[in-house]
Amino acid sequence: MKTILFFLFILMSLGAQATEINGFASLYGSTILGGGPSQDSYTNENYNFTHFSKIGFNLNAPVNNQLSMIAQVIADGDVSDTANDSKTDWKPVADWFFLEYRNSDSSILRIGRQLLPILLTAEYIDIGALIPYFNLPLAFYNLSTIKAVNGISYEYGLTSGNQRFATRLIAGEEKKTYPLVGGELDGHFNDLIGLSLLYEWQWLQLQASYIHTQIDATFNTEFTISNPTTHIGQTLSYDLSVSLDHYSLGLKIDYRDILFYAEGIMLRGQKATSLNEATDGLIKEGKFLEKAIGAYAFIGKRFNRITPYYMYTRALWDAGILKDQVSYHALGCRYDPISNFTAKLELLSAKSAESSAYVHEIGRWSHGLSLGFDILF
Amino acid sequence: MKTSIYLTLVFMFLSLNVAYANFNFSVISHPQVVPNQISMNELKEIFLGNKIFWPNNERIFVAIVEKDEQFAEEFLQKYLNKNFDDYIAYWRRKLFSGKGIPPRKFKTNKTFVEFIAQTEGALGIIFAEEKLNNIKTLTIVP
Repeated sequence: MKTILFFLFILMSLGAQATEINGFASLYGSTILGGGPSQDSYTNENYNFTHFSKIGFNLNAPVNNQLSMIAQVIADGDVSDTANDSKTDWKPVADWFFLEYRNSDSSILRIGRQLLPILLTAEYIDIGALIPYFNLPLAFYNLSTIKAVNGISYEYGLTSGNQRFATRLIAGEEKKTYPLVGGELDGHFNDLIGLSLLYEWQWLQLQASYIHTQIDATFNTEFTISNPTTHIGQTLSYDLSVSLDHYSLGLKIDYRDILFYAEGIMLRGQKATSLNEATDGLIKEGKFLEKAIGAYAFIGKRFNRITPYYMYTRALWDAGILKDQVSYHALGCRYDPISNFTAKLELLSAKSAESSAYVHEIGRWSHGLSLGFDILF
Repeated sequence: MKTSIYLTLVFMFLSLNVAYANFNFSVISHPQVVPNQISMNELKEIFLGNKIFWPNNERIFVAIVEKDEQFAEEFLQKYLNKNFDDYIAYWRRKLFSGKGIPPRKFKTNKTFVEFIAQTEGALGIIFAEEKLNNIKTLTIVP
């Protein structure tokens, strides 16, 4: 149904007068330099340019002075777990598409599939040329468990001199499967409601967001059960209902060719309220999610067309019985020879550690090298 | 000491006004655009995509001449504090997050002026002194 609706939408967009079509493509490749596979899936073992490589198109079709149809379709080489985790094997999918209604300079109403403004770059994260770093480390980026929703949003913006303030209220729902520590969550995010605040002044941008959602999900986990006669690997599934709160805060400074980004995200989960009796014991040891915290700081300096940068990222996932933490150091360089083409090279070192009630793993280092090219057309 | 501070402030205020009063460009629009004048603040908001409607609720369509160095130096850098690449990057972020359509870019002054003359709600900045037909020139007020 969603696909039919999307293609109908695209056809109507193409039929509209003054439709703008713009495209983007990224060719990314990574390889492990040492220490085994990284926690981050974009440093894989084969330098095959499929992970995170992508191509996409953006359509903006004004229907009349107030109403526009806006959509983005994207195809990528492998599951990248961006806004739509069904993307794989170059199959084009609707990244997002919505109807936008504006009847004044300050108000915007959007209905349809839209990206959540959780992070500073969340709404254009797929377009590599527009983000200053190579990629956000997945351990950090995936802390925001939900990136897009089918719903409605209202934005109100005010400008005064060089200052701009905007607030956006969003409500919707989303079905999504994503990996969690110890298993995979097949969830339905109901009753999602969020608020985002943005402040801009010349070279400064501040953003704060809060998202609350209720999840009805099945959590599939595989582990070995100790038994007097044998050790058997079993997959257990249990149903749960849990509320999850996302908080994020971002700062961006672009002053005299110095770029500085700093962002933090925190998730807090409430105790699961509906569980299978068979797994009561497991859950009583800990909650579905105690908390998850992540932060990064990026600093770069433009020297004409070359921008060397350093980025530090840290993420911690605490699920009660399982804890997972990872930190990254990324040293990279971005080269913009022309305005619509970018090349990026990044050396990434990650230190990860997992621990549970039974096992404690001491930190493990891994190193990777990534090379990427981005083009806009 | 206090007097010299006051005098400095007054001088700075007057300098600011003088700077705003001496525009070396003209704002041109489609002849049927309603207002006859435009403030510098409105102009900045239009070029940043924060103001998209004329007072009669007609949509504003902004046009620029591609790689116009005079426009980059005398308007973008001076009033929006952006160079041409920054300005294009700003609009690309808006475009690819579904928040607006960038100004239409034209390769020559001739096609740029033709677009303004033919498109209802169109607006642009021009540095040429020549008299243009079928075009409205808006008075810039500080």
